[in-house]
Amino acid sequence: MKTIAVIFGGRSAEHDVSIITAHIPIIDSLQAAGGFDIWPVYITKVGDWYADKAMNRLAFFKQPNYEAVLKKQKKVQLSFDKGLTLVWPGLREKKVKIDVVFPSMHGTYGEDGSLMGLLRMAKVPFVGCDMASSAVAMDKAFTKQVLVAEGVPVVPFTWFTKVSWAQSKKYLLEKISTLKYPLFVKPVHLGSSIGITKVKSFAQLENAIEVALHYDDKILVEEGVEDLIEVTLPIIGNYELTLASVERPLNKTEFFDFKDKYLSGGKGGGVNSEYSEIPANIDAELLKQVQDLGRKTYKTLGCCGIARVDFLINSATKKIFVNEVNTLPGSLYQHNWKKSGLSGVKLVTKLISLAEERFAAEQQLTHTFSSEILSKVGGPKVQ
Amino acid sequence: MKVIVNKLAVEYADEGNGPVMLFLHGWNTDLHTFDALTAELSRDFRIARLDLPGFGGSELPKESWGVGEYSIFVKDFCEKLDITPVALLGHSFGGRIAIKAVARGIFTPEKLILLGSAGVARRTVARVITTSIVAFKNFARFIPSSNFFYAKGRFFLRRLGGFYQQRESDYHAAGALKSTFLKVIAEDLSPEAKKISIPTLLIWGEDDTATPLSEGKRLRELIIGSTLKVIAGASHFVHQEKPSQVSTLVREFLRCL
Repeated sequence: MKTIAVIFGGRSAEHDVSIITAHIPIIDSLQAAGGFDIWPVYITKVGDWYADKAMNRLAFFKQPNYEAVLKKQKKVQLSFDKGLTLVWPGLREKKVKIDVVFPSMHGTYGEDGSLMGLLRMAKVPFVGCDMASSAVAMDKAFTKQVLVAEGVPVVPFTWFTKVSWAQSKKYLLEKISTLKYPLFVKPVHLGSSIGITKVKSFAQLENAIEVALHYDDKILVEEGVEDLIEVTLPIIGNYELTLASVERPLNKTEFFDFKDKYLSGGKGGGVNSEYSEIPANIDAELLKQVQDLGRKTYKTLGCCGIARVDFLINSATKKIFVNEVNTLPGSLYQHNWKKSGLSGVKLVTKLISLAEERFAAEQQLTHTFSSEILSKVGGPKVQ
Repeated sequence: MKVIVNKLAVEYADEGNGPVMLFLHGWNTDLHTFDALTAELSRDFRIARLDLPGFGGSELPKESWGVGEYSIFVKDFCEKLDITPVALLGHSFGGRIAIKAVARGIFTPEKLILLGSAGVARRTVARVITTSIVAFKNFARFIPSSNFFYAKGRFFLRRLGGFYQQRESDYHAAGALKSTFLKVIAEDLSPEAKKISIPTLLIWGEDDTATPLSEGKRLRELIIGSTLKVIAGASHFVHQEKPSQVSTLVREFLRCL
């Protein structure tokens, strides 16, 4: 029986969404699959770690006092000795060796590569994208810069930090003036549309920048797309990719906001399925281009395991732009995979085997080599 | 849409064209309480409304506030948007803010509209109820809810009627704003209301139990030259229940702006 640690929660604006993803579909599907010893590992909003099987039930987190309940428990510690082991220290110390980690964290200190770096150090297989692709995808500006360098179309944009805004506001406003309105101003590191403003005129620009800088110290200003169709494409795989259906969110608001995404979906774990068109009703040529660009984006960023690529399409000119990449789609976009013929059970078991496959390949690499550099310290060449 | 005011992210809406009106919502609601009224009035007015700090999509104040702090914040919000409202419209708690802001000269609109406004409950009654809530809550913390005294205590307070029930429910729902809530309801705005000299329209639901019609009548006495309009078959949320009637009264009142 494989022991799986599902890690969720964390110091992120998307903390609560992470709890939902961890349970629906990850833990529910792992339980349905059978053959797994599942350890839920929950990180509180202040960064404390707990692991208790009672947390395998979503109902645990629906208790209004669940934080108080947790405070009475012993915090879990991690040991990196020959892999990852959960340790509850004390006179009656308890240890659980983990075979595979299933990260289920959205946003900062999780999806941004931080957790992946920790798991790499622990030398344990883990589901989903690795550290570098997670870190790049978490930064909307980095993502666009990498994609532009590889010839993937993105909308015209500029980016800057809080410090540079304070120091060079005039220069940055001139730079922004080369972009065509309407503009979108976005914090680069936050998901779920937090802090994003659609700016229709120059008069609204500075307030929108101030809002984005309230949430992040680096922000992006980009052109909006006219006659917009938004589509998204979930992808799984390491080397051979499997594409889900191209999905079109039929949101009512001007852009998908936090509530649209996570709270209005009803059944199926939160992600809005009722307001999505699966597969998207777009013409075959556009569909093919989306799929090709999805594959190219996934490979360019070095994604593995699972990711979702979001696109903006100008329906009049048929121009397609890659908007962003999400390395842990909310609820794994299970609703789409189901419609694409992959059940929740098959999805999570496939993701675990992909994690093991990548880990095995990683072990084949040579990470050390012999050198005489230490013996030469103090010698003529190294001083 | 959001804007940063005094380091707090504030959700707001700014719709329509014409003379600027500022809408201030009641306790435990948000700017959407005015959706129907805005739809009616935004054809002739530019209507700015915000989620007051601690409500809706706006961030919590960093410490407990009283009505004065809210009034100044709302003024700063208007400066941020570069708007000068010619009319303020406040519902319930939003009415408290409007009364204080106008009386203190924080805002200098031409006209004021108060819907089921709070702030002028008879001093003795307000004090008894506020003190009861605080004392009872503090006492009840040490008693299991099944306790005989707890049940009797609740029964006694409930006998004070809808007013207490509204206060109790607001207090419970206040969460992180509990100390702000107590600060707000403890303030009697009668002396402030007396200072108001601009044309003021008072609109009340006949069946309002949270701020009973008697408080509307009291405001009419306190604000010289004010007019009280009572809408039949409406409660405390008169603007949601009867948006057409309220908008007709408002339009009539603001005709010469």
